[in-house]
Amino acid sequence: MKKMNITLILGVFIVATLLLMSFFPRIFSNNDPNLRLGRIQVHEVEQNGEAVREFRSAPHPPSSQALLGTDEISRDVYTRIIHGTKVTLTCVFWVSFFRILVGLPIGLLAGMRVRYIPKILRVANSIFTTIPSLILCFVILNIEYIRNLPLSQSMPIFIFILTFVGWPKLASLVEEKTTKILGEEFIEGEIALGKTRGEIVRQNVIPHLTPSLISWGFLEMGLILFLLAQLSILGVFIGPRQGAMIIDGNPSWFTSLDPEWSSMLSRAAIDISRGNYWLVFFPSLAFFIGITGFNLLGEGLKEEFNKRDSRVVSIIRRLGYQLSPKLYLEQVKNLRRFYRPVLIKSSALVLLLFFVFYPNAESLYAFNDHRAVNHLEAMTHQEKGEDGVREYIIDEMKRIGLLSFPEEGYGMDSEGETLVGVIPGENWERVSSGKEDLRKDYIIIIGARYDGIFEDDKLSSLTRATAAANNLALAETLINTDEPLSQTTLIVFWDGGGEMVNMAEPNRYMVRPVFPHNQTDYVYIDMGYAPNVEQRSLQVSLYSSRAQHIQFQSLMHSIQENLEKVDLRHHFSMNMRGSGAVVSLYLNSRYSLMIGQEYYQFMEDESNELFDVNFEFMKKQGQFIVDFITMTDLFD
Amino acid sequence: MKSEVKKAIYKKTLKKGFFLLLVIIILLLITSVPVNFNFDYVDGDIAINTTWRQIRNNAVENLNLFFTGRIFLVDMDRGTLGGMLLISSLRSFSVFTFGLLLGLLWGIPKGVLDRRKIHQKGTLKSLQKILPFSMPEILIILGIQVLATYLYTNGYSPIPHGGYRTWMNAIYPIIAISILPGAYIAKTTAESIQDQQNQPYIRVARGKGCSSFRLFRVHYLRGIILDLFGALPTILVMMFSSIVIIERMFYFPGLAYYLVEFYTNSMGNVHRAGIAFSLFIVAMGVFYFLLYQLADFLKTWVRPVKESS
Repeated sequence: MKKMNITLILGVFIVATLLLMSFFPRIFSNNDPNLRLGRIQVHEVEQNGEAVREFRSAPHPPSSQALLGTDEISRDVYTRIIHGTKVTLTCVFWVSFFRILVGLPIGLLAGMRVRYIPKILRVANSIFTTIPSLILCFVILNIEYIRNLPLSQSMPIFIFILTFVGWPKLASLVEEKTTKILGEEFIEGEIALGKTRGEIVRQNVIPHLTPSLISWGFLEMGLILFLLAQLSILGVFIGPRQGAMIIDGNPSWFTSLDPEWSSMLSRAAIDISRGNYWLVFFPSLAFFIGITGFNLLGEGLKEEFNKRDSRVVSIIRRLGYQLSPKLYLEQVKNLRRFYRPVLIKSSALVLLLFFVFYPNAESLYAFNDHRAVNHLEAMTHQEKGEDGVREYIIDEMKRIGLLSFPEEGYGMDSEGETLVGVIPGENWERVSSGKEDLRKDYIIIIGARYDGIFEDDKLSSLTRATAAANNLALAETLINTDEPLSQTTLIVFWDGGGEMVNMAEPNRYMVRPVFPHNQTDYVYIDMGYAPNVEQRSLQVSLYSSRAQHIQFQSLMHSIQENLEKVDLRHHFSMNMRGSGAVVSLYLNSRYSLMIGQEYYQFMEDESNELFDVNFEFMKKQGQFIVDFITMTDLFD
Repeated sequence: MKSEVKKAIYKKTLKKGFFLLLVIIILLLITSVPVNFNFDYVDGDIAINTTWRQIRNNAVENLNLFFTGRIFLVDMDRGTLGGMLLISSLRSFSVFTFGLLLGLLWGIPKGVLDRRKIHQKGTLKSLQKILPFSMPEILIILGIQVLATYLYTNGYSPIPHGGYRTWMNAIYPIIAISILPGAYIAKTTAESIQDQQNQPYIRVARGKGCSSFRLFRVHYLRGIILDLFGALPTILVMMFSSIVIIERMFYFPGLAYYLVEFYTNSMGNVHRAGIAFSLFIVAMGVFYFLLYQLADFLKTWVRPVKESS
């Protein structure tokens, strides 16, 4: 009886489980990884023979409610480990893949002693021998800009840097193996047959190298996971971080938004010193299991490849043969004979293509950019300067049909400079009567500045009018939807003032005058200025002092997807940006999304003309907000 | 002949020295970028928060300070940079050296004891080979810290396990750093004994009634030492990454601890932190380079000795 390769079986089992956790995390945990379980827990303890109640704040140790305990902001450690598998393994897989992709050709060429390649490889190896990869990765990946990037942008940078520091070692292994293969006796036979070097590499070296390469690939994954665990202790992890326990606008410390293994170890030193061992033990255990899985798989495969009659090897070879495009074309040519494999392969190919090129959902409502341009022209040709702009906006708000609430006229403050119009949503009756469900109901505020367009009744900046023009066009699109929006929306036009107001001010300043009887919750969207024709991307920032709120992470991903859908080149950040007048409004919102440029130098330029405005971006800016409000169901 | 060998050694040393100098210069140039380096979004475009002029000035300053030796006199909050470097290097070096010695001390006997298990084939052997090296340092450190806290708080041990006040603070970092190399040493020792077990001279010695201890002392030990020299580069690389993590986790103020501190915390002054960071990263680089070269030399020296024996 053949002896079973238990190492390989164990490795396959662990890696398959990890993959299952990556693709179907809900099988293992149905909780939201960002859900905050009860922050304060009440425990009955005995003190001096009496049962007393004790209040304990997060982190909570493992219990029936949270199997592996909770972290400092009360998120379930178990759920975060399960949901974090995908991010961690994706990074590990791609780094290993790219290290092979870079290391294989260079190692092959070095093994064949092609010109300067062996020297280049030796120098690269020496450099990475002198500068430890851990330090190098730490220095680069700790740059604040990288630390604040959203996951979709942070991941490629991690992949690039980890590939960069690790390819020479793999290339050296390939070089060593290639030299060994080229020194074999059968190669002399091939040379005698008149084969070129290229043919020898293609037909002899690569097939002999493939098994080792597969095994190295898995061992490399183990090493990358090891490096990620080390980096995590130095506070470096994939994905953005968000301030936690914000006091006076300053976070006490930072935590990760996306669940990811290394992020869970970023405060390991503090957690251990505070005795919160479970916060370090379980994520480290996840790393240990992951590294063990990849190492077992790599070693198991190595063992298998050394056998002369290995079934695994024959399966891999057969699979490689079956998936070869050459064979597929042959089978297509002889369709009658091979109709079954052709059918299966074609269906798989169609499915794959469908999956890759699946079109995004069309926008439900088109943003009227022509209207925005008309507004822009009208606003910048007001004879009465800034007063004229205000009157124009009020007239347009009336024409569009925005409600003024609670009083006549749209002026909100005593000077009537900040203008507010309401687009009633499904929750309008509840929020306007003060009977809203505070857990569910909230409003959306979309704000744009209209100040600084004129100076002494003379046009000083055309670009400054773009935000208000876009906001008017947006209001018209949103009020004309077939069905009312689910949330009531306030369209606001701010008039200047860059001063910071008291933290508690926004509710009083903004929401209370409109809904004086309650504490309405809100989401704030800030319409920034349009870029000029020379600018290549638009600024987008997302901020929330409650970033660990349920579904914030999904929301962030959804925003990214929507931005890609409207093909909006952007620079994404997790900082608080936007019009200075409403900075404090951001702090009390569920979250704030700023889209558009902040003040930039060109705006005050004398040559600031209509044709300098980047209308393409302006249109995408408006369309993105329309889609975001009408198609994204992520406000709850 | 001898002069040719000497020439070759000089040439190689010169080459390595030149390479080290080049690396130092590269490191000094790289670290001319301020520690608070960042990208920002200005006028609709991504821009760096520093200027090329500033980076160039920093580079000139770094090179100037380093090659004139004035970098060691830069005043930091905790004394001069040279003083800090000296003390932290000594601490790191002690942890490193004693960690290696401790690893040898328990690794070799464990390897000798494990030699019987070497006969076991298949899964168990593979697991023994794989599991210790799949364990991230953090798990080892956690185990040690939990144990240390338990012993300390219950009055079983007077050894503190964080920061640095006395030499006793180095004990747990030494234990932590010795675990992985110790496991590797044990594995190498066991494999070395296994390789030698079937050699004719061992069989003869055993046939003539040589005791196990004598057999170990006279025959196996030589092979083990040669194999360990061969494994030294791997062990040192392993220890080097570990020391960064261990110093951080135990708040042990060695080279790596300060390096991370200068980079992340800036210790109040970005400019001085940048200079300190440059010096510490160069020191780490030189330390790593010398260790690696030493290990490499030993490995190269061992190979012919082993072959001839």
